[in-house]
Amino acid sequence: MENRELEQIVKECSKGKSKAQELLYREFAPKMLGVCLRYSNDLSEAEDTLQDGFIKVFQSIKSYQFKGSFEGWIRRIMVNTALEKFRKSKNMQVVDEVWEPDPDSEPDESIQSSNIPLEVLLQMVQGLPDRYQMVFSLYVLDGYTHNEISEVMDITVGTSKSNLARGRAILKQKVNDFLSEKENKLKIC
Amino acid sequence: MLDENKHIDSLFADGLKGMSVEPNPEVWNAIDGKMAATRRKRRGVIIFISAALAASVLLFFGVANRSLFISKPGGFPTEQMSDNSSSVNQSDDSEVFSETGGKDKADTEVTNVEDGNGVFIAENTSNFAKNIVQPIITSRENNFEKESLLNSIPLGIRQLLNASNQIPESLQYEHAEKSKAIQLSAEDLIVMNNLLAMEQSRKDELRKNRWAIIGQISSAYSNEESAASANSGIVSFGGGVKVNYALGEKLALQTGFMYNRVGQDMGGSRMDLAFADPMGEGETNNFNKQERTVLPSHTTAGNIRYTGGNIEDRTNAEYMVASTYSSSDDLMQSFETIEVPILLRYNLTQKRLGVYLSGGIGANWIVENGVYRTSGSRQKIGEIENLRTTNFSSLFGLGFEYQLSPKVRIGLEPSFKYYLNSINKSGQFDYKPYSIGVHTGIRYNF
Repeated sequence: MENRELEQIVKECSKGKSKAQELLYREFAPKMLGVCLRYSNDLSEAEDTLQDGFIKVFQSIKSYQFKGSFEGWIRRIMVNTALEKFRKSKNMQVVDEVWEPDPDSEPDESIQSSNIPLEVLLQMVQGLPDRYQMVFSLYVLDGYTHNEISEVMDITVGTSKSNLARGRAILKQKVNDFLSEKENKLKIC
Repeated sequence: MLDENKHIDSLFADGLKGMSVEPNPEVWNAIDGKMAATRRKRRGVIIFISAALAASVLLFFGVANRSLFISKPGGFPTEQMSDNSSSVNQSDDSEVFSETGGKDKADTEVTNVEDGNGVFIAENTSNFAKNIVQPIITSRENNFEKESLLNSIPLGIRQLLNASNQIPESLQYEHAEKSKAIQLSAEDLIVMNNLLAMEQSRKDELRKNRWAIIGQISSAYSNEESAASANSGIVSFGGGVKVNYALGEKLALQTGFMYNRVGQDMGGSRMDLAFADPMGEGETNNFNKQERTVLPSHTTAGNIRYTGGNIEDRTNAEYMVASTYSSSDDLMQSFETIEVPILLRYNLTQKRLGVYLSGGIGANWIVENGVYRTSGSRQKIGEIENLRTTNFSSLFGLGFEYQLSPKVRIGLEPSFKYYLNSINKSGQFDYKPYSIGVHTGIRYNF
């Protein structure tokens, strides 16, 4: 979509035009659902976040000043919506995954992302305990700093760092497990 | 170690950053429905606010023109006047009934998307165009159990948490084959703990929003309704600050400081006479024909103590003789008060447009007491004697609040206030003013 066309659609949206809202949704919804999936536990939850996020986008689109990337602006709203949901549910008891680091397992430096299907990578992130998932997604996938994470998640910078380290460690373990299993299957064949 | 971290980060970032997934069509339907409902609500609110403003303006101008309430004909007591005195009474007898109505807002339920058949469109993988829902659901079974359990347990959570971790008798099936005690697993206990946490969260949320501050301004019509009263009321503006403390989900306590004014307009009940020249011989042919104003010695609120210069007290009856001269003077009596109300508020609805009832009592301190001459420029000429400084009133209101954001609401509250005691200490006067007004304001929840 060209910038001029996008600008026109955004202006129409700020007037509350339903047709323009649908066009905007069709343009950005798939990418934004990709963002929401990283902060949710499953597709249904991600679609809920997407729905709430787009309603916020349409309600606050008048405040968009055409400065910076529009996609970045929508992405920020989606991430904030996901964080809001996380904050609301943070009183829930977190069932920590029992994880004991395996001293023998070293990450295989030859791992290529193409070796692991995308849905498996997503499942690994979604399988992290909620807080680790949030911190990992914010830091690694959306480029937040630890200071920013500490603010939006209401935790200390130290906690953010330790959650990231722990999240990474769990993911490494899962990646290694997946690759070993795959290797074993190949050997059997 | 740093390289290891970078490696694992890039593994996930490369895969997930550009991920694009086609959402279920139902998501757009839900968004569109919600936005349509918002547009309808906005229209409803505009109609409501317009109607409310129109009602306020109507009340203000209606009262200002003395056309809203009946003014009884009559005048100040004339027992000290001579038989020849005449009075000019003015009254406008008319009634205006105004009615405002609010448009009910429409609620639209948003359909939750349950059956997600998301098709992934991935640029860097060939085997990804498959349904991803099932594996994800499997990996997070607990979440679904939480929801289904929450929906299926109608009774209080505490009933479930007995010492033996068993379903209480009241929850067990009647049939023998189904009546085996259901042992709660550790997972169920976690779910229950989570339910308890949710209940606690709800309480915490309520506790968090317990306090609110409300700034209000008001326009009110006030008068006094007694058999002796024959005067029109006055319209005044006031305002103040209240704090709101939520006792529960529906009930709240309010208090604060409010500035108000009550009084009455005595136009139409005064008379002017000519005074005799006090230095004259007392004969009627020696009357000083200079036109002068005769003022009453008291109102229904109490005796007037005149403090202005060159004003003859009517009690100096020896100086007065009857006359047929008419008057052009108006008098107004007004009391400015600081009120500390204690109100109980009950929320009838708590959606975006909230409706509530409020009632209570208020302690009113009279901070300014005056009798004014209002013909021409307003001039204070005296005050009412022997007033009670502290008075009590009852308050009733029906209010509407519209939520602008989770923290901010604007409100409109027609209210009625009636003094419970006579504001004059003397038993001779029974003056209990009332006021009917509209409060508008803004509320901020902490």
